[in-house]
Amino acid sequence: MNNGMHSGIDNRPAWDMGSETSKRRPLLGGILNTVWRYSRLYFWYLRANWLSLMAYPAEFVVTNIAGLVYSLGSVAAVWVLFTQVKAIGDWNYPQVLLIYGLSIFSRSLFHLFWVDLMNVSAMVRLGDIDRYLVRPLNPLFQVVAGYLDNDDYGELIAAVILVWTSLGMLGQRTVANLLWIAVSVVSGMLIFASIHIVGNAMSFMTIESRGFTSLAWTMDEFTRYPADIYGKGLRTLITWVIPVAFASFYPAQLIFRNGQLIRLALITPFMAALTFLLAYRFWTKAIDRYQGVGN
Amino acid sequence: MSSTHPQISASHVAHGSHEAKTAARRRDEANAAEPEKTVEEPIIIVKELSREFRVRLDGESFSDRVRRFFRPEYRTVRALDSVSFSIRPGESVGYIGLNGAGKSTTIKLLCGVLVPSSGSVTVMGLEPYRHRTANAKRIGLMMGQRTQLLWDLPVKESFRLLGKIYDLSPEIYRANLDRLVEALDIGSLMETPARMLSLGQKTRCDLALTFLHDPAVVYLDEPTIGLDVLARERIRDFIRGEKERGVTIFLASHDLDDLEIVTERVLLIHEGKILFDGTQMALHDVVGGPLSTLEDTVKQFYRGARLG
Amino acid sequence: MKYLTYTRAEFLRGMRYRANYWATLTSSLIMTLIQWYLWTAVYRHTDSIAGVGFSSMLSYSLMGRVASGFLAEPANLRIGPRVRQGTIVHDLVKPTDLHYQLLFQSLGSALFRLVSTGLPLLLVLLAAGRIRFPGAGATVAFVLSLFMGYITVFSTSFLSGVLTFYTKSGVGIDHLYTLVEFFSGMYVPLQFFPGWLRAVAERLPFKAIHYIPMAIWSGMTGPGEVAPAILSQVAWTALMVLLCRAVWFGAVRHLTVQGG
Repeated sequence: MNNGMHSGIDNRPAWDMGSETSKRRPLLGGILNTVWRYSRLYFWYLRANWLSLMAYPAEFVVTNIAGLVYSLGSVAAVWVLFTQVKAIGDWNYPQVLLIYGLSIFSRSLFHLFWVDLMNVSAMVRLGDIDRYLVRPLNPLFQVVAGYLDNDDYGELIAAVILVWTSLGMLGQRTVANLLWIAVSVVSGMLIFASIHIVGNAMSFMTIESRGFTSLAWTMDEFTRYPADIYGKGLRTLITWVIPVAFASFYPAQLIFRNGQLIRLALITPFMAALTFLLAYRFWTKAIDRYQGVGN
Repeated sequence: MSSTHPQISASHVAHGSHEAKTAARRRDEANAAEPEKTVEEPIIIVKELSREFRVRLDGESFSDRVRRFFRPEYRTVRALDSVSFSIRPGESVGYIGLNGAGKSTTIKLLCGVLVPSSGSVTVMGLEPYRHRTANAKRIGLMMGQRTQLLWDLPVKESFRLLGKIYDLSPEIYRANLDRLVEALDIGSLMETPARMLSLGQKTRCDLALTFLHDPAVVYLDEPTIGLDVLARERIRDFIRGEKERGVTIFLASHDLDDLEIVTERVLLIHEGKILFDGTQMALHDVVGGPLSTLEDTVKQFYRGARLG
Repeated sequence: MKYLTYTRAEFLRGMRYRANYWATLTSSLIMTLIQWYLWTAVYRHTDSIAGVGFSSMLSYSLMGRVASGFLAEPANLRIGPRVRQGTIVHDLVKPTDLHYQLLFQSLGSALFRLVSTGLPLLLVLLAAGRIRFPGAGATVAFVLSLFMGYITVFSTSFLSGVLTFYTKSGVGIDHLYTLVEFFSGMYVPLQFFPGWLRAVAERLPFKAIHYIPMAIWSGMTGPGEVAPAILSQVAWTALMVLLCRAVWFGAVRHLTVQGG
């Protein structure tokens, strides 16, 4: 299979093992193989991350209580507002609460699993990215899997409480709705991840990327309130260009049984996948730039 | 792998080119290196390699800064200028240069982290940048100032994760780990969280991590930085041992004692150019004068270079 | 005054980051737009909420965005890490007081943010006719109040920064910062709060950060109430500064006598 030059499998070095057995498979098999390999590796990374958390149990508890309070601080603003008014635009209290809840649900999932994207600029500065580039693994995977945040469980709990409460107020606590919530928060997480991938990939091109990181966070702000309160141009922007509206507003429409927007609600997972693919392309281009392709 | 070591032989080089083809089907296959190499063929070939960077200028005066805030100005810096050399399998080469001479840039180009502005790098028949993953499996990189250890976890967890990253089979993993633990005497550290290790212990663990997947070529960037004399000696002994096993070593260090003891051949880089390439003895000859330490010789050489 | 050199240096540092600047300006424009549309939607079905009319609310909120960079939580005020990494030694051997040095340093970056993002935003809003000057007296009172708001926000962060010196873990006020923002009136003005919550907010120093200046600017604070509002802010600000001094001296004594 190999120019016939192999004397035998025994004296091949470790890096050589099993490489060609996986290479000749058909495309689908190759993809499944890669997915399987990365899933297994993600498990090992997760394990290491969890073991690291266990090193500081007290801090873990304290920061997560603080995180819960942190997210309630901003929810309090919505609650205060609704002690004074009946609606924001055309949306009543439980509806706004559900949208808000989906927004912080997606955000906290993103934050939980992708937070080290924020540190890409430091990784570039300190050489960690170089290290990732000399390992036989996808660099983005290494960035993302390398570190899990420990203070986002509070926010996640706040999000679950918010979504559960608002579903109750709407009389919509059905299994189908809960499944849809699961689909939409994972989609929302991917959309946030995409935006932050693009924002932080700027670190590969300019040493001053802090502004882009915070710009990415700002885009998240659009998801807190119903997307139709924004003007037409902005609404188009957050639907089709930077599709953050799919992280909370559109998926919520399926639960509201809103006939006009239900089609947009249903394409949420596809928009998320597409956005992620485009963002990933941007990321690889940015790394190419960093390495100096075409210089 | 039952035998001890990856002897770099014809079959591996040939296999490398095969892997290259499959790994990057999109690329022009004709570019991949051809088989039929002999043992004496170089494992690393660097040809007229240059690398430039664009640096934004910072203003001196307030008005300069304001002006450049709105209209930035750039300057091109040539970090490497038409560098050529080649390294045979199993050779160990010391890389010497002052701060900013282009040492790290060279290593990054050799590892495939950076792409050449012009010229070419070939490692085991592959261009490292084009075949990043294939290349990554056969090389090791140690950056003396950056640890690979997982900070809060016992050292053994770092080894376990890296074994998974390099897809080592349990048997190979066990065999390599046992060998390295023995050679670097780190058995007693395995249960200790990395943050509680001394610098010397950390460096030994990092070295072991670098060699865990049996790399054929290892790049060491300042491996002994900040270490005491005994720790340095231990590390030199280990590197020498690996060299005797046939691993190709590329060692950049400011500590010329490291190089004097570990490598026969030295490359001297100054302002992006290779000024000298040859054995330590040859360097003494070029400099002339009484036979002295490598450090004195190099100092002499730089004085000469600056005058010339 | 020697401390002003710190202010100048920090201001200049801000100018080195060009790409950063445009990104920051864009995000501050977006935040302003979000506020604008949010309040428009809130006032769609009503003319007045808790006695606050639409134009007054918009003025409160948009001016809040203009000043948001200036009143943002200052960074790098954590004393704990400085002590643990040993860099505090460099700070203590200098012939300056670290508390004042940090105050003037942070003022430099706050002023940079005010001039670089707040000012363009203000000009855009003025040109668009979305914001109006409230008259000379109120404007002067507003500027005064804004500076005191800055001192309060700095003091809040500084206090929590010094606290990280006593608490081993890295948890500081920044983990609870949304609460500070909430009680400062940054999200909704204090009039909207239910009675009991308003009573809590009135007894906290945070209203001096955001609510007092913005209420003066937007006219929520009537002409006759401006002077008492400023006076109460002076009192709160002085109290915060004194508290900072006390805690800081305590920390320094702890550090020099007991060696940290």
